[in-house]
Amino acid sequence: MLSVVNEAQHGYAIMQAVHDRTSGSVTLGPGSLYWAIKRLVDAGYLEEVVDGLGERPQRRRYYEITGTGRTVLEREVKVLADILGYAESQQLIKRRGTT
Amino acid sequence: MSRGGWYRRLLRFYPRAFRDRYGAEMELHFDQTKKDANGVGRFRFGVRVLVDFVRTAASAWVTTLVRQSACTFKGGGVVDRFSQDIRFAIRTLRKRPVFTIVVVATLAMGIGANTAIFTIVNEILLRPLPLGEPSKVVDLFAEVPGGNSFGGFSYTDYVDYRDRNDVLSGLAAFMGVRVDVGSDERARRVSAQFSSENYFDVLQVGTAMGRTFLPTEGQRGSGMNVVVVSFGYWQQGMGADSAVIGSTIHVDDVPFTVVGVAARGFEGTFVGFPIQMWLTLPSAERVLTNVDFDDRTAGILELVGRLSANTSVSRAAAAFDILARQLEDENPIANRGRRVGVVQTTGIDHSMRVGVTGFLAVLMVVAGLVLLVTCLNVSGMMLARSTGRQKEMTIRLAVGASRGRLVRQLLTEATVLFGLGGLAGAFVAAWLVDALLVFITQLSVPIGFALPMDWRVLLFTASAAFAAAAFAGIFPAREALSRDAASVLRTWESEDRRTGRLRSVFVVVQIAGAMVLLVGAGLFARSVLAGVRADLGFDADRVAVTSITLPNDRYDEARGQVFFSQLLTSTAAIPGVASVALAARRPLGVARNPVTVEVPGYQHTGDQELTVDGNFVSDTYLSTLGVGIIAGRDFAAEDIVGKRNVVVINQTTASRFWPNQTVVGQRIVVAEQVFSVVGVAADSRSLLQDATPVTQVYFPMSVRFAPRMNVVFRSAADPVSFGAQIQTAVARLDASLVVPPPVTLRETMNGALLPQRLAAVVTGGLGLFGFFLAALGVYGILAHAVGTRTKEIGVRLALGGRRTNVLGLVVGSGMRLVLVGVLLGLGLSLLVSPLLRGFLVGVQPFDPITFAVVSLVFMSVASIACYLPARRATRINPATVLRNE
Repeated sequence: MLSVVNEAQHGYAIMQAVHDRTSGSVTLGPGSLYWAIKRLVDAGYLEEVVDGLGERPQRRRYYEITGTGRTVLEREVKVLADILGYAESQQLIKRRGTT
Repeated sequence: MSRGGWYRRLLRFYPRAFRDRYGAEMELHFDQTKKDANGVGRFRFGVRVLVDFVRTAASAWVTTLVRQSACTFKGGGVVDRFSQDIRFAIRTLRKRPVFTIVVVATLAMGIGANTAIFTIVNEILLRPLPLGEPSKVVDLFAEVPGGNSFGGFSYTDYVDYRDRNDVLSGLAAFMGVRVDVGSDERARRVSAQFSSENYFDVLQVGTAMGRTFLPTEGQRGSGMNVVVVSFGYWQQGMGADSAVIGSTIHVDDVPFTVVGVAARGFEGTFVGFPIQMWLTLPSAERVLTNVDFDDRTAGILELVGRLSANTSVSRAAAAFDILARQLEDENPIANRGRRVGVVQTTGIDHSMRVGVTGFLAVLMVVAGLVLLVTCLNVSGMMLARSTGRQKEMTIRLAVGASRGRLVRQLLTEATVLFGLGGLAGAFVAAWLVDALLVFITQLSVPIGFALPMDWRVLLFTASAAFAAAAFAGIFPAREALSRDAASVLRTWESEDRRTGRLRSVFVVVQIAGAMVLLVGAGLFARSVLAGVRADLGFDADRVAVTSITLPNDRYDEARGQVFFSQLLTSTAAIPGVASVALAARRPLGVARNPVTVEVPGYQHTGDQELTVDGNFVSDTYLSTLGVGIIAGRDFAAEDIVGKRNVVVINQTTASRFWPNQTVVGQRIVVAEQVFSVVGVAADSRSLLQDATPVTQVYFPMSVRFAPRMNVVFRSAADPVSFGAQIQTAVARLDASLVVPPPVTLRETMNGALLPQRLAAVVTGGLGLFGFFLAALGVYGILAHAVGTRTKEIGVRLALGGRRTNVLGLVVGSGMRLVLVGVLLGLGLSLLVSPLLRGFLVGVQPFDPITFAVVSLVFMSVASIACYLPARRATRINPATVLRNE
């Protein structure tokens, strides 16, 4: 969901974003990717959009985060940030921004 | 089938709603990701996509089904029931992790071995060469009296054939060479071809970059040196430099301009012998010194053509036969008896095709046998398990499940098991193929295989897995259901015995199959041993060969002769080198060198000319090889210096031309020059492939100068270690010359045993695997029997039976199976081994030693498999057994 937070993306771009962000350690296969997209769309967190040109290129769809999706994402990120903050305070990991 | 087609087919197995909504995009996604992967990466990508598919399809179906069953109680379509079966099967198998793991591991080995061998078959026989319309491409080969198929066409013949035929839309010529690329110390030896300018057009091969040859570049005297490199060489030898077009490389010190990179995957027309670069044909006259395009007798070219529309191979062959006769009429001396053969290009030289196909067929049969053994083993395990599940099946039948439904359930279980086994097998195969490639690259023969796992291989694996599943699943399913509820409860033990009998049959067949494999492996191994020990007629371990080619812009015949005589002196002076010689043709080469001779007084029968196998050598050649002189004398230094017309012949020649006569002093005529025989040498192996001695005649090297000579030397220490010193000695005479690393004759010989060696390794490895499975099968049956007969054994022991008797009882029943299996295996081996005759060297198909050793080893290992459960039987405590009653 983080990959589509700023702009609508198509499936392949999402896969590449995940691949790049994890330095190649996570590669989503087509099955995993679209099964995840389907569940997020069914849950109302993502929606399909018509691309910027106003006409949908054949077979390629773009996915955009919805209001609900953004709320859920923010909440999830906050939970993760809290956990991270706690881990830092316990000196389990190095503080962000320091080396 | 399009390349991405298999993924589209996979998509059909997703639930329909999901497929309709996302299928097209997933396919697009797949296509794009596939483009990023290449080579081995592509195989890994394929596997990853498959795993991804299995995982997501399963969860998609679970979700869909849960939703459906919440709406309706009615069963869905076929796919729904299938997915129910699958889920149920997975649940059942997860309950028995050890069983599942053992079965999957067994299958992985069996299917993996099959897939690996199929990969080889695919590469060599099935995968079409990457040419446009490959079925239209034909090889032309010269049929020369006394020669073999490694001889070729002269340039003038090529031009005549090219211009006069009306059955080919194009005829190209090429000449395979090994050349040094680069300058001085950094030079690399590569496989290259001098090719006519229409070579790429005839084959319909394009370029990845740049262009192929222009018509003007093919004209003799154009003086243009241009080269097209292979995609592989561009990547590995040139660092995939995108600015390579227009750059200059040095081939045997002659500058060439790179004009193109050939289409990816194209490496010439011979599978296993990849070509790294193509040079224009006329430039051969500037690079090589021993080519003469005007000499009609110089068979230096190989020809490949493309049939014109509506022309068959046989029609082309007939047309070329007529042309060959015309050329013979026009050039009665040079073309006497010469004919032309036309065959479809297959990537394998026509003379080797039958052998190669037969060899691969043997490998495939071996692999099939292993798969059979694997299936029987797994089927046996499933049978044993189904016995334990009789109650479950009976109850399910009793409460109204249909028989068909239960059969389907059992087959589904088998399918899931074999699906997992197939998937794991693909990984095993990838690993085996890698290991095989390492094995091949360690051999000092210039062969190379890509062995990619393309869709054919994956399809084969899938079919093998599912055919095996059906085969292995059908027996347990039949057993479990061929009874009604009442009879199961009534005759529990007799049913168990029936299953036991079936399992015994399986084990016997497994043993027989493994025996056949091991006998085959034994025969191949004995062939390799016999080949290694074969008497070549010379000392193969201490003699090594390297070669030197003099560039003709700096060496004419006079300078060349001086160079070679200096070379002999300086290399002989290297400490540790016992003897050095030069020869125009290396010992244990592959191409025959027919020399037409006339023998006064010898009545030659047949209309073909009289030919012998000739070699032009220095005076030290025979003594360096260690070939003895039987009569007369060896060459003397004066014979060479004085260009005397003398020859030394081998025994076979002597007894053919002058049986029961004094040979020394006899005369032979070659090209109207009279040579007198001064000595008779012992027979020795001339060509790599000649099992029996041929007529060999040695001439002084000075009577026919060749700018390319083989340096043959002998040393007490490992001759290969003298490579650097010889290079130094050569560099002192001419710093620009490159000497390839010397290879001992033993290594050359061992390279020739590659098929036998490969077969020994493959059948041996698979045979041991089958043997191990068979032993496990015997063990399993006995362990099961001991388990069910605990009561009986306990009673026997309680009544005073001796433990040794019990031991004998169990071991005896096991060994009976083994004995039957071994006898059956021996019988089958006797039937099968004659088929191997063509591949065995120095060993008979009914080699008693192999048969005896294999049987003995088999029996002794099997007796251990019998002893272990028997020992457990003797430890049964009668008191415990009776108390439990």
